[in-house]
Amino acid sequence: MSAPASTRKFPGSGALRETGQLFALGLDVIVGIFKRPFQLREFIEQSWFIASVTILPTALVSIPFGALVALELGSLITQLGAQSFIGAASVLAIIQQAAPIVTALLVAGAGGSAICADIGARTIREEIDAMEVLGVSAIQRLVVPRVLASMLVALLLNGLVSVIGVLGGYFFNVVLQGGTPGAYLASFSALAQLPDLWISEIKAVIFGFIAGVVAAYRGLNPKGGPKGVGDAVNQSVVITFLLLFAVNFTLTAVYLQIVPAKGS
Amino acid sequence: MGAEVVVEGLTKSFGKQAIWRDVTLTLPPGEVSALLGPSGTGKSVFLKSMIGLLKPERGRCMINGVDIVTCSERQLYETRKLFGVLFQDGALFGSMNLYDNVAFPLREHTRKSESEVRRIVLEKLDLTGLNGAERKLPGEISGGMRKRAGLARALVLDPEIILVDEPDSGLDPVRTTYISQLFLDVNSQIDATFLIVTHNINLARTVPDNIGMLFRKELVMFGPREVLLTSEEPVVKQFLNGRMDGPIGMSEEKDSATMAAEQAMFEAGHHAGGVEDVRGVPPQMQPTPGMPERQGARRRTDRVMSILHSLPRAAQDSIIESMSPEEQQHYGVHAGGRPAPSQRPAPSPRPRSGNGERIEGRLDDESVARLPGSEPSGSERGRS
Ligand SMILES: Nc1ncnc2c1ncn2[C@@H]1O[C@H](COP(=O)(O)OP(=O)(O)OP(=O)(O)O)[C@@H](O)[C@H]1O
Ligand SMILES: [Mg+2]
Repeated sequence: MSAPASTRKFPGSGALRETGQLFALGLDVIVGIFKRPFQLREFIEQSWFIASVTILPTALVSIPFGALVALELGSLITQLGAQSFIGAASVLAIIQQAAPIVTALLVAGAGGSAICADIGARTIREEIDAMEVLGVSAIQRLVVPRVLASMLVALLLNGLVSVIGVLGGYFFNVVLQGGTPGAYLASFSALAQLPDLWISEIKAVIFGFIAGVVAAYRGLNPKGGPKGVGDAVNQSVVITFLLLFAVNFTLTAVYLQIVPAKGS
Repeated sequence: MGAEVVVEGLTKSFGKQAIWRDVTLTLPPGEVSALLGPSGTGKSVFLKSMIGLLKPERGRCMINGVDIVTCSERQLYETRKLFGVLFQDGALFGSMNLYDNVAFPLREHTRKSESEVRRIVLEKLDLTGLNGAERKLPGEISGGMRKRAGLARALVLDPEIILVDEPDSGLDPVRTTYISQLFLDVNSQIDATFLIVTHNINLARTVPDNIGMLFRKELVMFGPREVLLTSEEPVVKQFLNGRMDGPIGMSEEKDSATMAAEQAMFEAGHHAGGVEDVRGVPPQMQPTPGMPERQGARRRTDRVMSILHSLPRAAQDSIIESMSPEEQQHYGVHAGGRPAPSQRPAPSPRPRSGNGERIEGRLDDESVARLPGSEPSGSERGRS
């Protein structure tokens, strides 16, 4: 758990070491997922907990998000004279990009911070040490169920955001901008395709994993007392956000290379 | 029989801050050892290194042929099952009530039925005086209760090695003695190896078989209790008496200038703290009557007798004195037979039962000698 003190110092070595340890924890978690016994109860409790703290904010965020996309796209596309593609464009934007990101931000911001604070408090109370000493791996017992829970919740929330976003977009387009319902619905499949939904869900799961692992990592390594836990929570959210945007960019680029856009 | 722990040349630092160097000691199987040392000398760090929570840079810590410092993760988890550890703050799981906390190791590592778990858990809670509190959460009980619950959890798997970090902190003096009694009873029942980290001088003087002390980033000494308790080492004497005059300062250690300044102050009559002159080897606490004989104590007598010649004279005398006439005969030694050491007067041989009086007698001597000098407390005492 502690780094050997004999490592040489060079600029950035600290950051590199942290990154390495973060990846090591990520690998440990992946290995831990396949180890028995699986902590089913903890997993269910955590899933329920994370869902309960994220569902409402997610719903509240995704309505204006869908509306925003619809409004922005709506006015732009109307100027271009391609009203019939409004539905298609907003579905694509929401499902491929907006939903996973909104989900991830909420899972990281609400779920991840709770995970980090919980594990951080246990660390400074020496509960983690006590657990390790009792011959029980804290990663297996505490971290794996939490990471899995945050992946599951991210997956489900992503579906929720997609649906609510599309409904919101529909509402704003049809009711406020005077679009035609039939055209909105009919154009769904003009640009969007099934793989878009897949990549959306895959992204959400990966983001959930990252949010969980980063939160657990920061929670397991708070710097000094209770104040350190507060800082750790803060950092875990910021680190997760940064990582998410980078990973999202990469995934999108790769996806667009592999799956050609519809109609091209 | 408890496991033997052999620590060799263990060295630990955090970054640039060295905690301790080259710590070498052996915890003899089934014996109770204590580790003393001023705050911040790394006693807790030492315990954590022994169970592989912290990785020392150098050295070995062998338990049943496994080196905790370098072994694989899997071996580490296996070896840890031999341990029962009481952390400084109890380290209970905050989300579980006391019952589930104590049941946790049983549920994790044994296939016992829930009724059997219940029997064992209630027994351990009873042993630590916590019956009736099993439904309480750790946040809802006092610090001393948390400590005792932590102990109940550490004992539940009948460990071979029990590490205890400051059993006395947060406990009143009476409960501390009860806990000490509990340690000895547990030791006599399951013959586990104990290492107790403590600041409590009463406990240190009456409970352990062996005592060690950490100071100035080193293990100053480790050996049979008589060695440390009769030691003339200034650090040891200062620590046992809890006084300010001596090498231990507020922050770890004093430089010579501070020491000289303080010495002048004490000579001018400032009270150096400490109530009585603590010296000599009081009789050791024994398991409650009805408990089995402590196997560790028996093995210890053999062990100590075999190294007797290598111990300081004062310790030798005190060891021989503490033995019953039959034992003395068995080992072929006798109390009066040894010449007094040349450098300083040895504590003269006295019967074991007269121990309490002995300390009082010493105290009187000392107070008479000190009273005129120690102005503040002396005059106060005189007035009241
Ligand atoms: N995780 C850590 N990282 C850095 N330094 C640490 C860590 N844990 C302990 N230390 C340092 O190690 C030293 C010894 O700490 P430790 O807790 O072992 O003291 P102690 O002897 O148990 O004191 P006390 O009797 O007050 O409990 C302290 O100076 C502390 O600053
Ligand atoms: Mg300590």
